[in-house]
Amino acid sequence: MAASLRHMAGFQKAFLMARNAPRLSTAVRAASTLNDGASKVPDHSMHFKLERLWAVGMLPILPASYFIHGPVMDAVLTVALTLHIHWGVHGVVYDYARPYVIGEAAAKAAHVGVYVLTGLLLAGLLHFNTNDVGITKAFELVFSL
Amino acid sequence: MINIPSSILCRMAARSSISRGFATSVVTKSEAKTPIQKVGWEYLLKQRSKNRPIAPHLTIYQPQLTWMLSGFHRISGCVMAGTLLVGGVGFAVLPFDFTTFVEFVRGWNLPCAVTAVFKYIIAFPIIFHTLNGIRFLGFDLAKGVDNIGQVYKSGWLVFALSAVIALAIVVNSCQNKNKAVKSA
Amino acid sequence: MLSRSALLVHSTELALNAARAASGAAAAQPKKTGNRIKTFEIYRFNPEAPGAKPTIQKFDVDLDQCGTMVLDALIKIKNEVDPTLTFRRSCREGICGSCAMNIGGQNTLACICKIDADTSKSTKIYPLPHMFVVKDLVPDMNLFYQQYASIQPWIQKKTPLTLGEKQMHQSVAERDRLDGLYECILCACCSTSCPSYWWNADKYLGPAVLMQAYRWVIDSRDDYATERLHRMHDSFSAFKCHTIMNCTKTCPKHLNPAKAIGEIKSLLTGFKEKPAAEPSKF
Repeated sequence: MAASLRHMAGFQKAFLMARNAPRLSTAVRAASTLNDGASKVPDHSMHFKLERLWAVGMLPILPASYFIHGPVMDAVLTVALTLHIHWGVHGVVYDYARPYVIGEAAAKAAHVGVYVLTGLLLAGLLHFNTNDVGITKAFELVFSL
Repeated sequence: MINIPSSILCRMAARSSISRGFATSVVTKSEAKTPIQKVGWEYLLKQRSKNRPIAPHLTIYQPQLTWMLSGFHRISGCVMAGTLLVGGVGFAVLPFDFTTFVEFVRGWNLPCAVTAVFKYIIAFPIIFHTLNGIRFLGFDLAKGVDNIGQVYKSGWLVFALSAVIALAIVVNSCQNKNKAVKSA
Repeated sequence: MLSRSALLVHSTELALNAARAASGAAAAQPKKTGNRIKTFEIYRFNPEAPGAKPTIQKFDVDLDQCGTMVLDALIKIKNEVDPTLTFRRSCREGICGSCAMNIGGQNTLACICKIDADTSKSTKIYPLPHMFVVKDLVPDMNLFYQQYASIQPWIQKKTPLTLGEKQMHQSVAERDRLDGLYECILCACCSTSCPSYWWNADKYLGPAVLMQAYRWVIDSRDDYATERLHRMHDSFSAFKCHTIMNCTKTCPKHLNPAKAIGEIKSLLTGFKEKPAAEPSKF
């Protein structure tokens, strides 16, 4: 009985000491989350923002092109569509032409191919606008059939 | 670690990578990978070496408005772009011009009911891609995605509006054609 | 409690079925009689068979002798027909995320997915789409877990703390912002419903991981939001979300990863900013 009382006293003393002991001060964070290699990859955010802003800019052009025709509208459509299509096709190609499926070389070729397609598209549309009827007139003709 | 604000550090890194990008390199800067992306590539190779099959996906996943509309958005974009490419380059290299081509088709004297179908096939993707484009731009800003109900409502609305507007355009063109024929 | 003879018959039947299954023949189930016999078509793949190819195997289950959830049917099939049918399961109440699989074309948890009682149609059960299959309905989840770890899902503070000294202050409004984000059970239903994740699982993080990344970005107690966002600022990690919306449609916990990703895009492009932490009152 006396032994357990001594144990109790000892326990209480230890408890009080632990409660009043100075606490550890620790920095609750990983050793710099910034330099884990991710910062070496280029920031795509502004490019994404530009893509979307460009699409928003195209929104009034589409209905306007139904009513307003002519070489100016043709030029506006050509520039707007070519850049929008370039980014769209870029997204599609990078989605499907994956190195895991077709190999690194074919994937790189596909990435270059995107620029080739855009170049061809621009050339084709410019030629069509200058040496042929132009986009808006073409729609006029088709919808007059 | 020197106490440089992280925003400035990121911009410094970006600037140096732009100047490095002018030098030729095997891995272009746009192909650079984050650490977890490198892990991801190693993972794919390891799984392939174990000859594990990939669980079926497109063939078994239930067709839902979500990915059906998204798929059509992408397909319509690609088909329209392809048409512009083939048309633009085609009429540049072919021996006849666009007017000749249209007059040739006009010579078939197709009834408006037939040409209306083709006009609809041309108009619907343009209108749908535009309207759904607005919907997707909203999604990118976390607008209209409060719950799946909202996503479905906007999806059906875009689909219905596109169908109706395209129809109106086609009907209008047939009416104009009839007026032109009558006055001629 | 089965009598000894019934037990003997039952175990002999099991052994026979196991032997049949091991020999490669489809477990020849005796034709089931009953009002409600449901057919399940289940994806099977045995990596140990040489030159193994995935197959679909049909199983009939008497719904009157079975629980209401698909997991009940799977366990019944494993117990009574084919013990080699392999699938993950644990809590049986929709909170652990183990039994995530594709049922009837949708990703969900088998333990809370009610069996469609229309016995004229069969229910198709597949593993989570476009995942590498270890065996039957068990996919390899390691990349998914590594991607989760890569977003550093823990509080990070810029100033050192004395642990145990006081609480990290967070107002009620700030805590509300975590609702709908923290409840994720990491079942991977959403990520494996995403076609973008199907094609580019190695570079695109997927909705589940992105939603958790957002959960830590907007936690008012975390000081490293800018770094967390910069870790995802490349063209694939977050921006390969093409707003397909399969994720929110399929989440078995009714969470909204698509919205979280939209918020991430808004933060990355500067359209939105993380609100400053409210000063503590203690």
